[in-house]
Amino acid sequence: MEPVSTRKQLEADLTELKRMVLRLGKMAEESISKAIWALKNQDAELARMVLAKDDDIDDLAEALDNACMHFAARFQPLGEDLRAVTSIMHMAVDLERIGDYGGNIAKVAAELADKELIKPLIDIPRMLDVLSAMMSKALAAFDTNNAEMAKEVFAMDDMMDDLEKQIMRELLLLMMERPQRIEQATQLLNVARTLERGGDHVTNVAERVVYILTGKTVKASAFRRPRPAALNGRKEHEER
Amino acid sequence: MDGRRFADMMMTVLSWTAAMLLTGMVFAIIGFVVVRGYSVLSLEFLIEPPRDSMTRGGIMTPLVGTLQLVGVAMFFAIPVGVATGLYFAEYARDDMFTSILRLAIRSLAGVPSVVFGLFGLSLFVILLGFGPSLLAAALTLACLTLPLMVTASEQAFLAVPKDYRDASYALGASKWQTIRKVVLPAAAPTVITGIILSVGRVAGETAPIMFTGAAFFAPHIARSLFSEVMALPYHIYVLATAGTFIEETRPIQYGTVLVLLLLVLGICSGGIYMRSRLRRLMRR
Amino acid sequence: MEKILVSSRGVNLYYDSARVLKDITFDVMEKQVTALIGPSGCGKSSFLRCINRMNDFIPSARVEGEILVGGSNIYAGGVDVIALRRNVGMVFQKPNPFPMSIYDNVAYGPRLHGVKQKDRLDETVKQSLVGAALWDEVKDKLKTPGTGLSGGQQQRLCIARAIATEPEILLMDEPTSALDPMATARIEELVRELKKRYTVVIVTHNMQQAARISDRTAFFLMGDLVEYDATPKMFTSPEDKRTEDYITGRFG
Repeated sequence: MEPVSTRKQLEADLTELKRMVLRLGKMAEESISKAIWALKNQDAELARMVLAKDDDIDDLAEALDNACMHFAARFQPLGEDLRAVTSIMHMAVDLERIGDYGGNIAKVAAELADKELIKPLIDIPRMLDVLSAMMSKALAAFDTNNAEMAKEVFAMDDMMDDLEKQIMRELLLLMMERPQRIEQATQLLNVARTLERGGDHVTNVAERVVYILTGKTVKASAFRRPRPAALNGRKEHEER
Repeated sequence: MDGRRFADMMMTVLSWTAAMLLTGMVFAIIGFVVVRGYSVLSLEFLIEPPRDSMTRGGIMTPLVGTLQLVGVAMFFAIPVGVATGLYFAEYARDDMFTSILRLAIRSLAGVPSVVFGLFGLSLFVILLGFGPSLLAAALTLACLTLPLMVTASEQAFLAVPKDYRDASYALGASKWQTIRKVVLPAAAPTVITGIILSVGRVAGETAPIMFTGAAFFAPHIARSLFSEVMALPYHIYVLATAGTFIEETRPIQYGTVLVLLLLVLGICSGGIYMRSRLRRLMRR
Repeated sequence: MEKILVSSRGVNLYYDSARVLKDITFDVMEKQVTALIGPSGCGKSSFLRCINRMNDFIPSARVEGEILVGGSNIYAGGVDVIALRRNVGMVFQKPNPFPMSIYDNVAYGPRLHGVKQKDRLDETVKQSLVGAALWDEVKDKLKTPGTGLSGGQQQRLCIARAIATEPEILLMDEPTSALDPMATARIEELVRELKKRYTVVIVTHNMQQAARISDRTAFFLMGDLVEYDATPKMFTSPEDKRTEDYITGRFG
């Protein structure tokens, strides 16, 4: 066995994979941040820039996927290396999806750029702040091999839920008051929903980080506020 | 030409010269014998006993005698030699006693053959009372070739790969079963080589048989183990030095040498053939 | 339902005063493939040879502790070692068929244990060669020397020879390390078949091989049994850091 030189090569390649993940994460985060910014400031030009960048994100995700395959074929990794490469492939999917969401939001921003906003956007940017914080934390945890930091991301998803519910209430109210607002309100609702889904994807990323480092699969729900039992089946229906 | 190439060339030339010299010598000896001796070769030469103070007739008696001596000597030497070799290879512990034993046997290989003759005289002829006889001479020859047989056998057994033994033990064989079914057959070709070499030596030795059983002249071939026996090497000696008609019997002397050479060659070839057949069976 | 076939209880192995195996305790499950992995000199091969008491042939070797095969301690006094070795077959690293015909190689074991009738021997030889996936290739040349086969075929011949005595357990000491990749693949496939009838314990220094063919894996390090677990878990998320370091190649 020649462990030393193969090991060095493996570690170098793995570091490169990690770098690609971090870059992909950054691009996804920028995409969604800029999209919300474009939405809030009704900046059509910015929205178009975000959409243009979407291809770059997809390309990087695909390159990362291929790099992972080559890594697996080359090294037949086991143990932590194996967990790392399979998790990175999953994370690529999650991060690419977040990038897509940025594109979706940018489309809405382009559409609403020349219209009057039915209300000033406050909570949606707040959701973005939380999402950005979650992403930074998850990626930092990945970068510094810190499982505890990754676990902190789970609780932050609660804030996303709360904000989304609040936005939903406000917009429903607006829709009921002035029906001609329904179209735009629906679009804004979708933006909020999209951000919330983004939060779920970041949570996935954090779960994968914990798995790489500990070998144990943790469910984010274990760290979050317990959902009321009412959220299954009939009870939810009644609540609404 | 630079120094290295020159040295290379010199070495090649020297090696060639040495080889040529040696080969030349061998052919010279054989050629010398053949030229001087082939005139007396004939079927009668081999079948008829010596007559007329050995100036005429054949060499049947010494020929048969040599065959008898070789036969009886190997009859004792092979089992004892192989068993001792087996002991060293398989059973002896790695201690001082074994080392001394090995040393003794190796040293025996270097003892001059005339010493064996004297030993045989003292032990077999006189002490055990066999008198000068086929038996005493053959036993002396057996002692002479024993170190060679022991060493060859021991090497043969040691050369059998440990793999075979491991596999045999792992299948549930005992030590003796393993030796009998795997080690002995696998060592057989090399043991046969040892036997071939021994036969060559035994057939041609003069000194050990001189005082223990070889006769100047015997009227007929030895009919019992205790009768004296004529032998080819001794016959050559007798004809060339102690006989009455040394000059006249020259051709017969060379003829006898030729017969002896052919005999040894024949036995060795037989052994080599047998060995190569065994080897083909066990090709690894 | 998993059944324990071989049980190691606090086994210590000494060569003179050097302790080569330290308190090895674990169970081998019936009709499963158990792999023993670890760096060179860690004791895995020595442990393997304890199971069929081949270490008895090393004068300086001394075993403490118990190894139970089918419930009885094979190191108890008065144990029939010959019967043990009939019940525990072994295949070695370098293929070592005897310098005899293929037939005689496979019949060697049964003949040792008293089987003489020709038709019984014929049947046993055939079944063993079939079981070792070699029958079709050699059925027309049973009388030719075993040493005339290719490396991979020779190893399968050794496997046939080992299973001819109808053992319960098959010990394999790095059986493919001297073979090319094709022959290795065939032997691995054979092992997967063999475990239907035999309990296999295999020593290998090739971790991918252990991951491919074993159900459970034991990791040895300097005489200690560091970890023993189901193979998928062992190679994706082992508990012990030393195991993790070994399987990721941080040390050889």
